[in-house]
Amino acid sequence: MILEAYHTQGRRDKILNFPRIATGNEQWLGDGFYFWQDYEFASWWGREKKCPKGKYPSSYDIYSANIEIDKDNFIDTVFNEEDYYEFVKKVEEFAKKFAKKFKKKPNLGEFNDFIADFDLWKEVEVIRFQDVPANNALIEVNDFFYKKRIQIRVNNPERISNFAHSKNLFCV
Amino acid sequence: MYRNKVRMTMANWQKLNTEFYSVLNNITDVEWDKWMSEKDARKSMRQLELSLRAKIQEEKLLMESIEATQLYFETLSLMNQVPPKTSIIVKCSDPTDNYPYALAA
Repeated sequence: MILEAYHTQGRRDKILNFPRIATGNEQWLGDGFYFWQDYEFASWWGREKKCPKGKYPSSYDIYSANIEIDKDNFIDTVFNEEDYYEFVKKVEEFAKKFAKKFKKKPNLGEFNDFIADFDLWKEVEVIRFQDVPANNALIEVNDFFYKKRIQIRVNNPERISNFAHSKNLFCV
Repeated sequence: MYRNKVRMTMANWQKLNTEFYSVLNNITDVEWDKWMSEKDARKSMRQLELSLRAKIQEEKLLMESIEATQLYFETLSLMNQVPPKTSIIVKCSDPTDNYPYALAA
């Protein structure tokens, strides 16, 4: 099955042929390729994060891509109830053990490192997840954040195809 | 906008849970400490590996794109091939319109 998604990057010297890897402890689900499920959030992300005032780049690019998924490589915490509750449970059980051992709450990076370092869930290559938009500009009813801001993290580049430049948008 | 209607069965949580709990429930203090001390180095290695795999996939997609373009032009070229010094007569159904009647080779 194919999921079409969008990747946003600040303007670079050349059009990308492949998405950029996101690394660091701030990535919700660890290192990988991050996509927006909906174009409007891809565009919003460009305006919010890729348009530093008075700095290069002064525009951003949105790319489209196809992501190949099947039930064995995909955790869908957005639309699949069981996937969501199972995932939440794993995060919390890890956090309890970690806190007991290190006397502090783990951070995001530590959860992701644990999964990767112990070779857990190796077959899981695509995860769909969401955060809360909290952004009135993208909704039709003020303070009613009814839209899911959905992202897709891919950690196997072979799952990505048809990566193509979609639009260049100027920062305003 | 709402094109991505992907509905499918859930992940194989029986397997994922077995893996997860076999580590989480059996990890020793020594293993926790070892993991904590080595995790940054492991992370760097993973990032390097991911970058290399991405580069390979990028090259593969580029090659596929080049091959597809070549195939397209080869097909186009074959379609345009006509025997020399011949003409293809294209008869229009309505002789009063302005379309050319014949395309010379």
